[in-house]
Amino acid sequence: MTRDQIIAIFLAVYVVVFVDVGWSGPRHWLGTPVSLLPALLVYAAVQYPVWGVVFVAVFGGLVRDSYSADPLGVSVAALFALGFLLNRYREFVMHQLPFARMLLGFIAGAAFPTIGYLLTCLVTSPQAPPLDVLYTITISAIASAIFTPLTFRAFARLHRTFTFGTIRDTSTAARLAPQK
Amino acid sequence: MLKKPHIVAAGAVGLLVILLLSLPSGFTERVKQTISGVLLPIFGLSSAAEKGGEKLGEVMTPKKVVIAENKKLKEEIAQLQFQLRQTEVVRSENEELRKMIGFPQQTPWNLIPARIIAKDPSQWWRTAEINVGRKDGVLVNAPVLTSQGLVGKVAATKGGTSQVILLGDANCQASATVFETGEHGIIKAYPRDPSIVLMTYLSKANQAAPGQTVTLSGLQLKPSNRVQTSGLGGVFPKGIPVGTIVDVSMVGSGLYMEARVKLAVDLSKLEFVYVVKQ
Repeated sequence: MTRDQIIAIFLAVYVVVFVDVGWSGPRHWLGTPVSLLPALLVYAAVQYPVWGVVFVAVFGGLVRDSYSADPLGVSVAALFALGFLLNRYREFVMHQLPFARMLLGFIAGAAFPTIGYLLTCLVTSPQAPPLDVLYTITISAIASAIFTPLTFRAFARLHRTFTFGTIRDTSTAARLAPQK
Repeated sequence: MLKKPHIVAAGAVGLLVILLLSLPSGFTERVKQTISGVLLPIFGLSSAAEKGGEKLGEVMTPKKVVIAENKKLKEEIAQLQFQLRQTEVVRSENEELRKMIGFPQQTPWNLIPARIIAKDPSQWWRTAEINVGRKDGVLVNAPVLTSQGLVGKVAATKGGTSQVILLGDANCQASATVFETGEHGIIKAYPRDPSIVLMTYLSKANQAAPGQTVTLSGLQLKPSNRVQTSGLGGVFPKGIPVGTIVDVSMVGSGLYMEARVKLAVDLSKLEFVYVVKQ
């Protein structure tokens, strides 16, 4: 991972966790909190080496859990399990296609609260009716399906803005030079 | 086959998770408090931006609206001053009577205003973070309320922020009483609806007619009866409104009654609260 990538992913995780815990808009409108972490995790798993996944899972998961009554480490485990699988088998996923990104986001968005809830149930006993949990999972999956392609776009734009693009040599000498 | 970095990463994160999950609860709370400090600068920024927006809104408000509001507020103040004078008479009378029979004097609540800065990102818990903490005099188990009624209690405090467990969470129970009948019960979570709590262990007496919900005091519990804290248990002071009864049903094989109580405070739209300084 390059320094720019580390800074970009650090800032992204920081802002995403702040939005998750500090912005109660979706909670008002949809009746359930919406997390953007799965979308960011899909991006990190597909674009970065496994250490990118570790960074998102550990930093994002720890800060998220510190603002929650969930046992500390539950989000870390859920995020890492998902990101690890995706990173390991990313060669088999056509992640360049927007539809594939959407699908990956949907799966990650559904799996993150499911794993998190199951792990929480193993450690403590949260009181939530099954239908409410199912609703949360559905909303999280849909939101993540929407946000994952957007995350890819935002990072691509950032990358274009902050890196030097390769310029094609248009001089006559270059055109006449024999191709190697 | 897994590559070496994958094995190392999985091992390291696995160990970290096992370590975190096996920490003693007191230590976990301290670790959580330390980690949550990471987001404090951005919360400060967002709060400053909000204040800036409010100031801009104040500047943009037409003078006509301000004058009308001012007039309305003056009328309200006059009315409240009158009520205050009446209350003061009753209070001094109450203090006099307490002195006569040797009852301890009641101390007025010392309230700390606070703002909700974060809410639990998980759907299955009802907790929130407020912007006052230990350095403001907030203690664990301090009651949290608004002018409408009870909100919850402080679960953990750190330097400048505290975690509040809201009513309706499984970890927030309160002893309560029905204002009209004096019946005591325990406020518990009602997971199906966050705006409702259960008041359980209400006594049951013989019914004169089927469908009646008569308590041992001989009075009937009815929808719209007011529920307030009883002062028992030592956490919540007496007389804080909790909500109103929606319906009453027989539970525990008919041994006692349970009432669904609509909370006085809309917890989903909570922005500002008060913490009772103990």
